[in-house]
Amino acid sequence: MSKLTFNGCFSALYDFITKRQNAFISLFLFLTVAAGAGIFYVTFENDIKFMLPDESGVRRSINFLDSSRISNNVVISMKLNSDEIPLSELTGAIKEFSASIDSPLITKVKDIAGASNMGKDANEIIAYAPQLFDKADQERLTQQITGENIKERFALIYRQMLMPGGSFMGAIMLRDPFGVSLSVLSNIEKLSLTLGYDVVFEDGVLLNRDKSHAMVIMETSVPVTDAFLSRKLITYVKEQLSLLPDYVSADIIAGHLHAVDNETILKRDIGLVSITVLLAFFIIFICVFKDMGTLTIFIMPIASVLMAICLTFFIFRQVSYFIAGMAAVITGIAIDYGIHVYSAVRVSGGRSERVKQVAKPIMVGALTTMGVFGGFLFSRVPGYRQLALFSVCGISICLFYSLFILPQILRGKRSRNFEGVSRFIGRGHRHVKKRWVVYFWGIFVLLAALVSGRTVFENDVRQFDGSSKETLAAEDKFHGTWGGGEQPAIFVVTGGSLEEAIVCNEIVYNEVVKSGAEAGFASIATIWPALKTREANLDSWKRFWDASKRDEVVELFKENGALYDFSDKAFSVFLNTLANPAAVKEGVPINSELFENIIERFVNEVDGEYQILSFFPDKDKYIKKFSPIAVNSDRTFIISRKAFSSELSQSISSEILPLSIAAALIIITLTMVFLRDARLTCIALIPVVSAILSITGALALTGTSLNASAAIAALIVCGLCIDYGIFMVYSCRDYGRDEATATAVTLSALTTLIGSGTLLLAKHPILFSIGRTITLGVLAGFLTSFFVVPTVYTLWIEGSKERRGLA
Amino acid sequence: MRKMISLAVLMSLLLGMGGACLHAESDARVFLAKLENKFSLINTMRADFVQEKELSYFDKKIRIKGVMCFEKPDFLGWHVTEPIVYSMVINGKTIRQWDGETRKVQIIQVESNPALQIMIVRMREWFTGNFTGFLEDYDFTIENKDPVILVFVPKETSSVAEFIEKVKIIFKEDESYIHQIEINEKGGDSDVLIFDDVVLNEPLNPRLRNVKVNI
Repeated sequence: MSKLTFNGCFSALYDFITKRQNAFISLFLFLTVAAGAGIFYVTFENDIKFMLPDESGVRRSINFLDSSRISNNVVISMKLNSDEIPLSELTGAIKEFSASIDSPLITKVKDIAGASNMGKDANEIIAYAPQLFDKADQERLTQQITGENIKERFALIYRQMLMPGGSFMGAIMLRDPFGVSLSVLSNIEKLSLTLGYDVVFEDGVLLNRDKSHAMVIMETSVPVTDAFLSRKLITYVKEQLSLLPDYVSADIIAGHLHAVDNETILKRDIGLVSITVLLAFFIIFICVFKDMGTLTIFIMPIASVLMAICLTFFIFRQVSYFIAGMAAVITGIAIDYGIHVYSAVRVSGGRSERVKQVAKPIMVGALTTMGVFGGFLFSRVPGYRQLALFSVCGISICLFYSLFILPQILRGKRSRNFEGVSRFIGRGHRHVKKRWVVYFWGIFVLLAALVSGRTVFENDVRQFDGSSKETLAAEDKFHGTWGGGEQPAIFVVTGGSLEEAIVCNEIVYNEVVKSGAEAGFASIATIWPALKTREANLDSWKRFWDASKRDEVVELFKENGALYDFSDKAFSVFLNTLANPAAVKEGVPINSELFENIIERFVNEVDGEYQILSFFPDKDKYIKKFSPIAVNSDRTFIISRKAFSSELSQSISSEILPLSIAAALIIITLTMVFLRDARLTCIALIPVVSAILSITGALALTGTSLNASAAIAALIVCGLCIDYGIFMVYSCRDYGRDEATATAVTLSALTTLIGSGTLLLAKHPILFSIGRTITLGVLAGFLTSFFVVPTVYTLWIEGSKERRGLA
Repeated sequence: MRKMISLAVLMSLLLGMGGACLHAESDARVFLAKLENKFSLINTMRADFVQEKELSYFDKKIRIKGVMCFEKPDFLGWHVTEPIVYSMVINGKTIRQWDGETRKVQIIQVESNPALQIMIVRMREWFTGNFTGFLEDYDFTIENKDPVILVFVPKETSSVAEFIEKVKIIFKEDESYIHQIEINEKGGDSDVLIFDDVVLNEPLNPRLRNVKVNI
């Protein structure tokens, strides 16, 4: 029984396909056409959640911001273009704009309550105050019910009634002469100031402090992560703004603009990169080699990428734009195998033996690259898993095509042009001075390693934001005008029902009070306690205002009211509240526009679950105080935008280290398995080490920080450079320094560099960063594999053979 | 709330209509536009006033006496001498208040008192002759021509219609200023302001610019 070897298996499969080449070529063509048609049905997504680990706190934060109304606001800031135009024109314009909004994408134009309904609201709030009557109120009232105090209070109300504009406040004071509702009103006022902007309210419009700008806030159902709907929303708002008079200009401030900008720039970059890559490949293969057969190498990775995208979509049901952006890189990697086969076929004149000889290093190279990407399958980030599937599929298809289909198509003549290019490359290859190469490389590695120590890892995810300068400038201008640059942190309490959430919110607030930091904590618990608490408060109000106490107050009111000619009607509302306070209601406790406006900002309903929000300054000292309260229950959590940013960065970065270790282990193990020689493995790893040191060294030298996308790209570089190392080691071992392998490696690196180099034209920071990293790494990896690997092989492997021979 | 609106209406009409003369213009907008032109010439104003409030909260009618003054663009003085001593001066965004009982000056920002803010915004609009906007909320008729009496009735769609029944403006015989403004509220309360000794476009007495004025 013959021994089962790689060469034997490959040879059998190769011969099997060769006999049925027409069927396989037809099948491949059919699949390519099908994938080309299928690509039009693929949905591309630009959702950051896709790039976040599953079940992470960050994902919960993003889900919260997505579902809450907080991040789904579109703010319009308007200003007059001339100082000579009166403010009323600005307020008029913003009112007309608000009235003109009629789109299902905008659920509400926020009405910021002013004083218009304060009278009605004041009555409701006074009637509600007994339900908030606590021990402190009771003690305060006990001290206030004296003849002297009441006389003083009536004098104040009388003066107030005679002041201009004072009748209104005076009437409210008559309805609540002891000010029992003052704390409620004060808390409502405090809560209404959590808008996050420095605003004044005038003529029904929000204005900035110097009244140069007016603002309108609109609520939308469109998540900021949905680029498609975001574009529709922004287009609609811009259309409405175009109807404004010439003397008014407006800025849009919305997270949706970032989504639109990023999608626009990504689409532009992907288009530009694809066209540039196609042109460059066409020039190299058709114009330089003058061989139409190269067209098949050229089409092969595109067909593989198309099939891989369709397969990825079939499994994930959506494809990230970032994956589409990576297609150029995968194309650059995948084409390498075709180049090696092309080189073997053209050098040998189409002999199948030569193809079978190069099959093993090609397979080993592809497997190590797939191993690197395959490691991503174990990532907690769906985007990385998608990248893994896409890459492994793309490379596998391309590998199969290169080894089994391409030789059938290229079969036949030798290529003179190719041989000419090959001789030219080989000539350069032979002129390398052995020792100088090693010395130079040694110094380079040493220096790069030293400089690499200064490499900084940048966590901030904002570096990946490809928003336009106009969007960022409008935001800067907006924060300069309105403040609100620092948004508050949010303490979120959840509950299966509204009352459950309210109860939990009250417990949290009591804990906050115990921590002594309630002054900075805006919570509706101050105006909306749990049902049971309100019932208990009302009972204590009734006990306090028993019949004898009420009679005592009536007498004191009559006696002191006569001093200022107050009529009996003046205090009738208050006396009635004493005897007949409003009953406790389930759900929203009072009918008040002010209250409703506050609830809108503090209470969310998401899929039948209720969330109560409390706001506090996004500062470390508060986060430290409130975090222990949040971790006490699985129904509470904190959304800190500052912490969120670093959590998000950490979440992404935390994936990089295990992936890097896995990739390193996979590369070393597979190389060792295939080469079965520790020294050869070390030599094959030279391009990988050189590439990594070049990347980190160059970044450190230019003061550029390493980021998550660059780290991922560096892993891809490892996969590519180990291929170069393996090919060169095989070449040195099996053929000495053959021109065909050197040419194939050169072409492989060149095509990859074209793919990654075109990413340097990208405007999106992620794509640019990937392009820069791969270009740096592949360039270094190629140069070392071309010059250093054969030299080290000669000095180390052949040298030792010679030494052993001499011995 | 209704008190605030009443007062805002009162002040607005007082300051807006002073010095106007009535022409037999049937078109209200044209008529008020002419008034706007005339009022744009007024830079300062000073007047003695008597205000009579008949409110359900009091057993008796309250009679308030004092002096008011205005200067473009945003100065307003309101000095009460009876039955309490009280002064209020608004200069730009700041309100200074002083009363004879506490004898303390209280400084507040206009923005911090929404009710007062609304009133001041309205008053400033009228001082600067912005009358046309008034017709958005009111219909007006000429009740008498000698002396001229205008009656403003809130439109049903107007937010003030809930509180205000009507506003009556009585001009001085020579039509040089408004003699009396009456505001009748729906709840039965009323507010009457009577002005005398109106002086237009004369420099204001510096004492009137101070809250601790000794009139």
